[in-house]
Amino acid sequence: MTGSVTLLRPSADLAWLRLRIRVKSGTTAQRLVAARLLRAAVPELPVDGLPLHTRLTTLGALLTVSADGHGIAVYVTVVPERLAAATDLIRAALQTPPPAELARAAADEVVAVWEWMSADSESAADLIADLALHTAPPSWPELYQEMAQAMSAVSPSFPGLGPATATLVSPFVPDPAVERAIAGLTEGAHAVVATAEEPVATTPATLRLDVASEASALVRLGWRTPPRTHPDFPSLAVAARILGGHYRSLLMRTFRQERGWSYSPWAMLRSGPERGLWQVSVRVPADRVDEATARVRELVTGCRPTPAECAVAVAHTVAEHRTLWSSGESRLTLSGYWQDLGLQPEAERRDWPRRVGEVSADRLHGVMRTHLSRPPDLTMILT
Amino acid sequence: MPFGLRVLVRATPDSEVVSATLAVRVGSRSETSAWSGLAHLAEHVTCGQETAAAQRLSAAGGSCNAVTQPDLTLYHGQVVAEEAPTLLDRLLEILGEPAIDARRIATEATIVGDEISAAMDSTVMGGFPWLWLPAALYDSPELAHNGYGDLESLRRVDEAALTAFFSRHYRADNAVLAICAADPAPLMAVLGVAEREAAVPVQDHTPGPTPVLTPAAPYALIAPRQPHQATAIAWSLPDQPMSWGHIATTVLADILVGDHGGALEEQIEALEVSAYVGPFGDPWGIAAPLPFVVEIHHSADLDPESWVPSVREVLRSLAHDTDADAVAAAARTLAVRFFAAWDDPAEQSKIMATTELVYGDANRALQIPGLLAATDPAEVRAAAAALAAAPARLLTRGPRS
Repeated sequence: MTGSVTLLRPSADLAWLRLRIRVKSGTTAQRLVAARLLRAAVPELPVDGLPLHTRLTTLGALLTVSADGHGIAVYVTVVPERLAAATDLIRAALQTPPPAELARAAADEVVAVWEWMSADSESAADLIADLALHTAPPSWPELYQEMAQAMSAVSPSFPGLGPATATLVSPFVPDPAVERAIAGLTEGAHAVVATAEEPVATTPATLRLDVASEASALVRLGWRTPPRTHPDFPSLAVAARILGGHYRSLLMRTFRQERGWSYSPWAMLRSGPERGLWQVSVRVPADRVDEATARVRELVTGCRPTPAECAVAVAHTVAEHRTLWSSGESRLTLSGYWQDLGLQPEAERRDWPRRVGEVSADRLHGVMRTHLSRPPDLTMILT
Repeated sequence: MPFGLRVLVRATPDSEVVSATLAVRVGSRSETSAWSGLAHLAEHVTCGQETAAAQRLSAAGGSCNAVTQPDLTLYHGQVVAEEAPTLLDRLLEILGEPAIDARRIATEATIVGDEISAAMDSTVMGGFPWLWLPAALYDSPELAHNGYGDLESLRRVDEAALTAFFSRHYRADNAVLAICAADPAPLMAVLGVAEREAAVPVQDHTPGPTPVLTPAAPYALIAPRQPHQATAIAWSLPDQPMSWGHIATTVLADILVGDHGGALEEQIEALEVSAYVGPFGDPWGIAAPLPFVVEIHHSADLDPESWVPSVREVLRSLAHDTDADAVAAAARTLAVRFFAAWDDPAEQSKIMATTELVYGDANRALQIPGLLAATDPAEVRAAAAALAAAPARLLTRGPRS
């Protein structure tokens, strides 16, 4: 048994269950393709002759599957009294060898979705950012190409699965039988196979993609950062708030209110297990790409928040954290994200506001100078 | 409250933040053809005001955003519980005198232009089918409105037009404030509201028109670089929201497609199929007329019109074969989806405010799961038979010329 189960404190009228299954091996691009294959297939896995989603529908349970560079997450939302039955169905589905025709159908779907996504600038940029979170290749354009090749040659066979983790948000502590059933979801996973460390980028990369006939262009700049556990991470989160995390942020004032170029520019910090990515995204008229790129660089490198501005951004960062903890669904998503980073949800819920609260303007200046004053590691221009 | 604003308060014991929604009974359907897009522009101007209350809310880590719908404009905010009065100040001032000047109007009109561009250009589907569905489905200008309006018309908006619009619609007796908080008592004291269990006065609710569709040529849009063809078959439902006919059609939509497949997906070979009630896939939050939409993504080699007989055939088969188990399963799924939204305090305050204005009674929101559970399979079969026979209109977008 390689998995673990976490029960979070009680919430409302529903139970939310998240099962995280890792893909065993391969490069980041290969794992991402494999995860997308699984995402397409899991709802169709047979249970006593009917697809899993049909079986869950009879219980009134909602099923969602997401995929990223490490594997998939299966989310089930159900009334608490049907949680045990839903868990049994998922377990039965995952333990039955999938038929070959299901793998072929999933592969077709993955390719169709890829074609769709490749023509959409936001989706393409998100994919590249996801790749950036999970690996640090020598060249971003090459990695994107590798992803495209892996996608076009997607194999109609299922990947080996690594360790699984289950998380439950429930209005009550389930009885031992249900808890055992949930624990059973994480059993039978294959032994972990170490993935070779991929090389680390040393030079900034620029990726220009012509994705669709869009009137405006998408500019995204990304800086690699340390992961969430690093002491500088809270300051970087506060910096993202100041640049683009709320209505009166620098990016909103500069690109929306002063110039009227961009409806919703943003800055955001995400973390993977080994590294983070600090991103700025601005959609601008196609003839303003170079000007916008230079202006974003100026805003990031020239940003010197006052203590008052820093305090507002700290308040926003803490408020976002508390907001996400106020609904069962987002609490599960947030907790799952933390668990994927190797963190304990209850501890992280308690510690994060304290860590953010310790960010001062002086500390913020130092951290921004250390991590954001160099040219961006990744520049994406999608037109 | 003394100046006529109705306030709905609900305790959400597990929430660390206070969520509040101010719903104003004005939307794109309230506009005249001379000022297309004014409701959305008014929302932008109001939400973007740099007032003292807005700055205090921001300093407290709070947020406020807004959305313009066909019948309502929703202003929604959240803040940590101990700063709740700053959120209420911000929302209540929206009903006061707005600060309007020509420069501000011009800037917001430009931003709206970018929003339209983002909605139409930034996704592969280009806002399909939301932006074109009203025009494909309805003939009258107020119902055919795409929510954004006409950019040229927006550029002509002046202070006088906007001030007149605010005076007409942004009134306390034309709005509702819904608040969700772990401990509502201090907020009620701040507002000077006494606790009155279910004592919200029910406002007169006038049902919207339910136009009968006449046959029309397909509404076709050419998008050469879209990877697939997207086609929507749309009906205008004759039923009022939350009537048994409306509930039955909502259940029928889930039986047809659901989250991961259904009767329609089993019968037709397409890349993706969905079915839903309501212009944005929300069956509960809008006044009549409600559209029923079947959306099909398919190869551009296939004729969009060829899907219509296939969909009607599936509907005819459901008119005979829908059993109680299928209805019960769909009703349970829809109820779980409702409860999942209701669990989020932000969504809960929006649902409360919307339901109060659309149905005249916020308490009706909590009747939705019970109404779903009581759905009669015969009503669902009747809804399928009615749609199979009723005229529909076709909207298609993609590379097919």
